[in-house]
Amino acid sequence: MESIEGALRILLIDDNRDHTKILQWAFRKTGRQDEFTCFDDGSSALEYLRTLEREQKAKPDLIFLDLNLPRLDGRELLRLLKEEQATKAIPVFIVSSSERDEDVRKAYELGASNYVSKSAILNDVDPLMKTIQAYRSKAT
Amino acid sequence: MTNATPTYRRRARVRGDEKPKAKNHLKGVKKRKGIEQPVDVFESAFEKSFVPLLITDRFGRCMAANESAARLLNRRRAVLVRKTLDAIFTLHGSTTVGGFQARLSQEESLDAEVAFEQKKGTTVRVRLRSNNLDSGLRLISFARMHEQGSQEEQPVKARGTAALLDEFFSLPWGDEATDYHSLFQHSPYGICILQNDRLAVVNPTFCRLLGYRSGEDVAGKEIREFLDQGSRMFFSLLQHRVFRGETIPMRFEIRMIRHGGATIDVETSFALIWYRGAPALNLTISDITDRKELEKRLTDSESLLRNVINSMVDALVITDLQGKVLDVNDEFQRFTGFTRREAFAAEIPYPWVPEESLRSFMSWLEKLREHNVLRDFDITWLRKSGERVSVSLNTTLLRNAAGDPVLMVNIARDISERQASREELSRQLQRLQVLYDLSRALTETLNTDDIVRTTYQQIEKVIPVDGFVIDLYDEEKSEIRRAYAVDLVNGIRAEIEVPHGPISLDKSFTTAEVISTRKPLLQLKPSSDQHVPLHPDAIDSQKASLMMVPMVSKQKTIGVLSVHSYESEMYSQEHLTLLQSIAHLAGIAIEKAQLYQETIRKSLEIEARNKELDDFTYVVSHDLKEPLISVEGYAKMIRHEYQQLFDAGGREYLQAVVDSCSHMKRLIDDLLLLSRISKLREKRSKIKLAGLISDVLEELRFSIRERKAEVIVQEVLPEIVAVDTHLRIVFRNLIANALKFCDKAIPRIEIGSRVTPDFTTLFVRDNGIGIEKAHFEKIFLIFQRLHRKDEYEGVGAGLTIVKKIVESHGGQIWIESTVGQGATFVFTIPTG
Repeated sequence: MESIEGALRILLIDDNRDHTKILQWAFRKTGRQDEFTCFDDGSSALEYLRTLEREQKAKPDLIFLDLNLPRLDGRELLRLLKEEQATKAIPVFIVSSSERDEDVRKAYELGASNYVSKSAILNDVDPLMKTIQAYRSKAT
Repeated sequence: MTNATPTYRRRARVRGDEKPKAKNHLKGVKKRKGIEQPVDVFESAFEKSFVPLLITDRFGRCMAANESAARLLNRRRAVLVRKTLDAIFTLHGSTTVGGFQARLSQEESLDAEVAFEQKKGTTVRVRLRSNNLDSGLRLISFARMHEQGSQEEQPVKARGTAALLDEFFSLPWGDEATDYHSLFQHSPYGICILQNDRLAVVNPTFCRLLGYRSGEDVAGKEIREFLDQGSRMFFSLLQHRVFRGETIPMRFEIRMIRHGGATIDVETSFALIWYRGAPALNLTISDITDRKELEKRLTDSESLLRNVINSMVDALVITDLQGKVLDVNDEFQRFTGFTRREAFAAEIPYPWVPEESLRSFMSWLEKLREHNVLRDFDITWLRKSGERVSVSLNTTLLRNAAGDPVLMVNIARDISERQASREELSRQLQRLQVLYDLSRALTETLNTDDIVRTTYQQIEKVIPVDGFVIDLYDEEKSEIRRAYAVDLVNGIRAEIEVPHGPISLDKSFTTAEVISTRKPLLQLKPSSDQHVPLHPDAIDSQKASLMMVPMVSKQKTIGVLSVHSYESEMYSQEHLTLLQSIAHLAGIAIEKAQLYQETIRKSLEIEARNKELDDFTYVVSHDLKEPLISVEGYAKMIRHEYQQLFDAGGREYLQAVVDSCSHMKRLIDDLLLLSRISKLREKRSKIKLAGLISDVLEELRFSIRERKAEVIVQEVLPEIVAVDTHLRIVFRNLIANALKFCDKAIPRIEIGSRVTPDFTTLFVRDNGIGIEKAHFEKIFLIFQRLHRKDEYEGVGAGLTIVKKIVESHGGQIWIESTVGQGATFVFTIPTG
């Protein structure tokens, strides 16, 4: 964990507030100081990101995105994020309780950086941490 | 004397210059003496006399000789004439000295023995007598001297012509001492002498021919008694003419009556003779029954030939090379309409050959000269009525004895019927072709639209149609739907748009009737019944000829196929039969297409239902998993953050919550896996079984080590085609099971395979607790447990997943086991 430099600003989009809570706890439990911003629907999250762009504020380092979302579905949101110039550079990790192959494949096709199983993260957050680390070191 | 030449021939041979002279002199005799008999009597008597006779002038020069004289002297009559008696005979004995001439001129009558050389070295002695005829001519008779000289013929004593005739021209038939008698007796001809119309003398042959035993039975009877009624008149006429000296036929046929009444056909000839001082008829008869029979047969065979020619079914005409008719048979007259007379009188050659055929007919005749016989020439003939008919001509050229062609026999056969049947045959062939094409085209499609179109296109080729309709019938719904329709639109046949929904039965009364009765309908005239619409789509139903046939397959009515025309009487029973055959084929094809579409629909339905089920399983699993994740997450949070708040019991309960969550997660994961196996047809690949199994054993190494298990893997394992991840699940589950359900200190697991062309059989054998046979099936059911949860852990979906994987590969799985002695799980995967 120490190898991750500083806290990350993570945008967490999931309609299951229990899961957002548990996930944040799982991160905190490891002693990290990451800053989570949570949305429970796709369109609010998108609106938030566009506002950040308009106001030229710092964008999140990472987006955790659930697939099943009300109003704007996770897949559609992912497509928009990867289309828009402002957001296409932000890595998106799909965090889903679905382990369906077609969901996984679709997510990667749309430009997701990673696909993690919710229940797996809850059991052990370490592998996710390693993935994030690997990804960031590659990006920089 | 053996020569039996019939009288008429003898007479016929009296030719040459001697005859007229003799005749003239005899005429002279007649004049002088006023003899009542015609000239020919003398001529005939002289000629026919069996006594050798010569007539000389007073100087002994021969003027005439009769047949008998020529024969005895063995010289031709022409040679005898003008020879003197001295040159013919030599005097024998001493009665007379000096030449004949001297003695003839001097003596009233001469009676001398003379001799002549008959043949070289054969001298015949004859007694010769001379009598003076009134004209100064001499009649010389002579007779052979008998060897013994005992019976010399008497010298002629009578005087005058009548006496002489009696003396020399009588036939000595009855005189048994003469050669003539023998001839008479043995002649194969029947001979009789008629005098005063009565039979004076008859020979045995005559008796035999008429069926009598001897001459005495008939002698003295009238000839009339022996003549058939039909011959009497004719006979009398001829007899009369003979006596008048007129010419009569040398021979003629009469019918005589035999003893007992039977008749006999004879050929007869007459000769007028002098018999016992009076004129008589020498009648010769010969049996011509055989000849008559032959003639009859000949006539019969001629008429037979004529009959044959006339009874020929072919027309026969015989012409010369210029085309002039020589003969025709009855069939020719019937067939061409030209009578025999008209054919004979035809002014132009071959009037039955029409102008347009004349050229080819002539070139046909040209070939005839080379080949003599030509066969099967198809040509058109012209009847008298002007009608043209097709004939097949056979022509034979007949040549005369010199080999020159003289006439032609043409035999013509009416082939208009043959041509009609040829056309009929080709029509039938076309129909067969249509049925064949249709059946072939129909096997190539399972699309109802294509089927009805193809059906229409084939029907159009063989049945005259203005309109065509196919209605399909849905038995279950009792609905008629129009599949296809063609009709006249502005006089042109065109496809008509069909209504989408079912057709009202009121409007298609006839269609409904055909469906319910399953009987075809054939209507040839406009329907007079206004209440029954002939055809729902007919522009003017009053005009249509209509055929409607049901399309029936097995016991199901598929629909109705109908064709119509706006002209009456367009369809025959034959058309109907053909349409039925077509409807039958179309019916089968449509049913097949419907079955196919039904099958497709059902399998799509099943697929959709399966997908629904899988989606349901997925959604349920997923939705179950979401709150579970929360429960588990919160339980872990509580355990981590609030540990100090719980006593040992609370902590144990909390741990139970977490464990239950994991168990439920595994259950859900298995369910998800199951739903995924059925849903995804994942790519199969060639898998090296040895590598796959060692990977699985590596994954399970902790369990294996923990149980101190012995795993024996067959040394050589094949490659198999399967879904890699799934096959791993199968082996992982089976090996884990084998490790799990074992009560032995050292579990032993054997893994092996056997390959056959069709299947690769794989097995995992253990020495565990075994399974009761009753449970062989049960253990594959989902969430079935044979043991209490605390005995053997697990969720109970493993074997269900294994079974599903094996079956999704097209294989089978089963168990071989005895309780307490382990179990073998055997499964197959199709090879290749």
